[in-house]
Amino acid sequence: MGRAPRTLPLFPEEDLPPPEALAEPGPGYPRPVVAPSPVAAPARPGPLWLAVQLPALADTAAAAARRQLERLAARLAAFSPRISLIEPDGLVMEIGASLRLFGGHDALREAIEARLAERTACLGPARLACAPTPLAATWLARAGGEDVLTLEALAGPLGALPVSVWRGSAASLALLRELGIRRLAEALRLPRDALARRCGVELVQALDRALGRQPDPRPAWIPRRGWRGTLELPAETERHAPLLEALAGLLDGLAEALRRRDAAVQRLRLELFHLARPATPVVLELLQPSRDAGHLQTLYARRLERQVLPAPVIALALSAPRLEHDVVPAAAGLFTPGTGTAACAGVPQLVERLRARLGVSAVHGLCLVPEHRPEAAWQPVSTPGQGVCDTPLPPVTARRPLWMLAEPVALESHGGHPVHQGRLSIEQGPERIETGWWDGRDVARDYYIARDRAGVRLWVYRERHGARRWWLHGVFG
Amino acid sequence: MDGGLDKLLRQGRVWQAGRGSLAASQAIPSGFAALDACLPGGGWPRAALTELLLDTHGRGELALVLPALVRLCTAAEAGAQPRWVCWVAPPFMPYAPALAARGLPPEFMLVVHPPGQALRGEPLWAAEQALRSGQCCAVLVWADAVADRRLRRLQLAAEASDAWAVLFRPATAGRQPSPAALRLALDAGGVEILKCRGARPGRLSLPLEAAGAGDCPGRPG
Repeated sequence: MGRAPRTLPLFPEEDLPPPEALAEPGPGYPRPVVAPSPVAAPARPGPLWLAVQLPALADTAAAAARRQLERLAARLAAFSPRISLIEPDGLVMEIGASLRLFGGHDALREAIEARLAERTACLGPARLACAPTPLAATWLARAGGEDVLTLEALAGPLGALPVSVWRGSAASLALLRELGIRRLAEALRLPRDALARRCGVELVQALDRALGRQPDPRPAWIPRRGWRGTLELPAETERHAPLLEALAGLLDGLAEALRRRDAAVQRLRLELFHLARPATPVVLELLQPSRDAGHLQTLYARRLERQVLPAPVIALALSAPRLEHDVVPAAAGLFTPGTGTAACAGVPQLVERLRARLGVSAVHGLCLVPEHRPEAAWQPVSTPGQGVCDTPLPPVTARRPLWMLAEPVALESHGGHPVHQGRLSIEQGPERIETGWWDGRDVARDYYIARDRAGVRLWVYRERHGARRWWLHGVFG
Repeated sequence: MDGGLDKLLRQGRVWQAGRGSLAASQAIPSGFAALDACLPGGGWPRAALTELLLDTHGRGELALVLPALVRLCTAAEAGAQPRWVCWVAPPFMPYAPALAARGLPPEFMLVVHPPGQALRGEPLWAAEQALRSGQCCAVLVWADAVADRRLRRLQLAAEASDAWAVLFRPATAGRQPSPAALRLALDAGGVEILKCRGARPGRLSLPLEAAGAGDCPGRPG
């Protein structure tokens, strides 16, 4: 080769064999965008769709049918991350990527059938079928066809289906009937453009999608954001034990739903319903998202101890308006709390326990604020351990008391001397603090260290302007 | 048999009369040499209840406990121990800048103000929760009237934990018997040891004022 070695090609794709499949990106669903040639790696299983048809739903009201389908999708979400509803009476789910996990097609199908059989008795028998495209799977399920696992084998079984599995317009279906076309195979044999002209382009497109010649994107079913459960009590009650027992059932349901969706809750709202009265809301706010039914139950037990019930309770509703995803729930065990870096892991739980009984405002942490005004130099923080101040603090050179009063207390004065349980003797001072003119809470004070009759040292100040009154601000502990 | 007995003694749970047998690891040096000399093990008892009786708030009670709190917090920083300090129902607000100046990190303070204080023993309940959580190296609780049963529960919770529990009470409570491991009374005259497991009661005066005035010993800025 006398020439310079070939540099990188502008279009490297040209040198590769044509892609086998273009994958549609799905939520949380890693798949190669371009499948490499079969020599390099064993062929990956392509997508395989399983369709579930519930003929009984076709006669139900649309809203009710939708609700049933959503419930069904939630139950089947354990088997596939990609489910889309086909209203009014069916859904499809991608199971190609789940085959290995569940031990192959037969095992997975059995598991899904068993899961369906648990609760669908009232919905009538479900019809299932598998095919490499979602539309083919749906059609096979509608006609009660056999499973087809590869795209190559699809044409035969699909052609044997009646044309009516395609839910086109009534006019198109009538026209097909008049033409003597009863099976899909007969429609496939006709010239495409003639078929499109007569029956509309939808049928041709549908056939292409069913056979995998055209992509068939489907809107994914997204679980509802929140969670809500209600429970009617068998008898109205004012006592805590039956309320807690009923709540435990609801919390179990919530924990189950959270586990299934890999989520946790941070805010819970319990409503206690009374007869002919507005419901009593009991809101629980957590510092950290949790999905532990036991922990939530403990917190609610504490919270309900304080709750005054205006009337007997007839029903409960528990709702989580928002589910938190992408959280790692605090793991219990392995490292016991109090050892290693996990030492802080239990503090949020402690704070939640305290707040459940004493109220949210009763518990707080402390943080520093870079400020010269003594009362503004610190702040309570609602999440203890956070709010560590990064900005450099002004150096504290002067003496500060360990105890501060929440609000300065006005002192009487006798002849210019402050009085607090007797005349105070000034020991040290003044230290002048004059700042804060920019935000309207400006202070101009002279601080003194004083001692009272009992020998306790106090931090007092005198206003520099106005009435020049004395105030007690802190106690040297 | 000997091994078993040794083990029991090493745990420091058995008090041998006449010997200050609380193991040294169980004690937290108080920072006051005169006090350490009077206390068995040379410091405040860990995993036990300490009771401080005050004639008035601000007598120097914080100056008395602060060196030990700082020591606990810094030990926790170095090692792998819980490092939170829980303040339950303090009479005033612990002033974060002053604490920080003394070497106590404010971000590890947990302040609990039970509503309607002293009702239904809420402060002691909160203190017990903090002790049992195993997250705090020290729990400070202020309470006035405390039922014997509640005190006993607090002492048990302190024993079950590895923390230092301090109960601040008015001096009038000195007449009530207490299960605390150590009882001190603080007044204008100094510190009086009313009761101490493994040592004799006595009276001593400590330089609390110098330590309590908010100076920053060994801590520039």
